[in-house]
Amino acid sequence: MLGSVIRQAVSRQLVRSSPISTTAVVAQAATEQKETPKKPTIWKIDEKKRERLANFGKYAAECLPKFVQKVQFAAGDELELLIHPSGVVPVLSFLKGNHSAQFTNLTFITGMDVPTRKNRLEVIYALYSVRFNARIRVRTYTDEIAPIDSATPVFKGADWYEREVYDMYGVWFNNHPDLRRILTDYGFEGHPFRKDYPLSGYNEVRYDPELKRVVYEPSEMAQEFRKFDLNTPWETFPAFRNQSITSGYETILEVANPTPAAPPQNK
Amino acid sequence: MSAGKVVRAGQSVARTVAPLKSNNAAEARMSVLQAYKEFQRLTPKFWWDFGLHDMPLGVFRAVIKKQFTKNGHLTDVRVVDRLVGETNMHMESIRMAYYNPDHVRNYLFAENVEAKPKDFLSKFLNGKE
Repeated sequence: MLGSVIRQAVSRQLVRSSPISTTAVVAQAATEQKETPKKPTIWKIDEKKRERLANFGKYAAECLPKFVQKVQFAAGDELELLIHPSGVVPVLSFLKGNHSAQFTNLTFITGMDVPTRKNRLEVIYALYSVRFNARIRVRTYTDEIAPIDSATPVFKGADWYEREVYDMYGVWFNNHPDLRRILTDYGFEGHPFRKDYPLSGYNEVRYDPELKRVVYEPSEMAQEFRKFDLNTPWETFPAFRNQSITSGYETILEVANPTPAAPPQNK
Repeated sequence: MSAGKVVRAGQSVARTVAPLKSNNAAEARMSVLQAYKEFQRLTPKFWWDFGLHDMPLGVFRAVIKKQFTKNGHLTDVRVVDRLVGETNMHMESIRMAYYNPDHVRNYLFAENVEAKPKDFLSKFLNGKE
């Protein structure tokens, strides 16, 4: 805004100071157009930064051979570290404390449910380095019961994110200070972001005038469930028909036979 | 790593897994008993604060006990630990009055809600729809 105002003022001055000749003005207008090309609205990827991030990924895998299983770019310039679930705290504290990275900002923690996998739940930690303007994601996996160590000793802000993941996916975080549900109601049943959670939920809530209180009842459809075919008749991405969704990923480093790290012992 | 011949006898049946809290069944059992005792100590205050005195305290204690005994069949230490952890959180929420009386009643007496009529005739006789 301010920049454009200044530019306008400058161009006005230029016009005023230029000799009164139509050709000169036209030439000037042409140069002005060249000077201010339209900014692209897409995020421009800095290839050098990407390379440095890839190197850092290799370095991190060397430093933490027990935990890092794969280093990759899923898209853009955000590095991904795929780690063993026992390595959450060491990997996060490494990324936070390493002076050449300084991923000091926890952007978010989220979960993902892929029921076809052996370890169906995935937990994703996104970090941001304010110093280097770089982002990294740490991905780990678990199943319905296996616990993951809480990231709260490393990042205080992980508290509510982990409560959210617990609430939505049912991942249990060990050593979490206050692992309660955060988004759903008190006494809620189930974990709504799991793929096997029914769309209508398990319970429905109504006020009962006889009991003079709210009662929960097993949810009931007013109409039998009907399956509509809502897919488009057209193929959406025919060019990618035979490609896997991960085909665009760029693998930086992959540990061929990740040695299963020993389960953490209780103190 | 080593170039020796590796013979795999098959997948090992026992998996080593990360524990939640307890390392074995005895420890899990102790933690359950501890949670149960703590809950029963909390019960009189719970009973009074949440306006549950339409039933005698003894009956309410039995209701709390049933919440524990209904999971008596569980053997996986991690599942037991998780339930104990959730119980501790419930107790915290009761102490801090995060729960309302309605939440508590619905949680503890969910099975008392009369099942809705399923077939057409009983729906008709029930006077609904």
